[in-house]
Amino acid sequence: MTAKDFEEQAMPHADSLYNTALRLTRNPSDSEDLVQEVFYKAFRSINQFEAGTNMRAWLFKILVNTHISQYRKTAKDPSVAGYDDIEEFSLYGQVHSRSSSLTDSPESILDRFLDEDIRKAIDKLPDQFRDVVMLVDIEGFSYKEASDILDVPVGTIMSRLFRSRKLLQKYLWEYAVEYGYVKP
Amino acid sequence: MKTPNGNETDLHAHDHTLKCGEVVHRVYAFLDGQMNLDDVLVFKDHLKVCLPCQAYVQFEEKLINMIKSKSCNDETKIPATLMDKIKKAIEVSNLPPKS
Repeated sequence: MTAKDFEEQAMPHADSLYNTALRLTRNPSDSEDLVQEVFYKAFRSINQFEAGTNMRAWLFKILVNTHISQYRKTAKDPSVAGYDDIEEFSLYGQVHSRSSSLTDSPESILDRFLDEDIRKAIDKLPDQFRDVVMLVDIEGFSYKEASDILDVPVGTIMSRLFRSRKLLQKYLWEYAVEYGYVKP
Repeated sequence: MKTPNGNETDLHAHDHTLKCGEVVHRVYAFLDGQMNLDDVLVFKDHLKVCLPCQAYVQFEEKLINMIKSKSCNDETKIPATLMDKIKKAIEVSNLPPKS
């Protein structure tokens, strides 16, 4: 692949890589360094890229791996092991058990959350959970692509996603109570 | 296994092949479009006859869409100076040494 081919195929993904880098590092200067490193690494190892396969997923894999090796002390975040009990939590269940009138549907609580609440809840997730939410929900990768990028089985993606969403619901419920979106 | 409403057992006893508890566990594969077609049909059949599960799935769908739209609002463009720098380095294949 020539430099021109690489530019045509890889550079259109620069914005989404940059946004993901911002979410990962929470810092514009580190994000710039990270994205630059990703493109340099990708170009240097372009012979490892199989033509016709998914360039975007390949670049994201380099992004995630580079971030883990540079910024995280350990690739395996031990904190995610302790979230088995979160699977039972349900925001719907919480709201449903409190809604008294027919006009106050569980769904109506969702309209009360601000963009800021959602972002804050995502940011609060443990790294391994946040990675999966970023890839699947925000960047729109399939479970299979996310499993290739993070180098874990599809089943692990599914269980992390399940727990991530439950944990997000738990944080949102806490905000709802704290900010008075639900009646005490 | 809990039903969407948090009951321990399946209280609405109509005849369908999918249990409400399974809807809770498989709702994300369904909403993320990661379920095979046969299972999607069984899932949809269940939703047609089970109002509590229908309400539950709608709630989860709305929440996922909120996560998608509200966190995608902040799309920032990569700084143009950085793009130029990367392009130039690649064009002349004059990359800095591996760190």
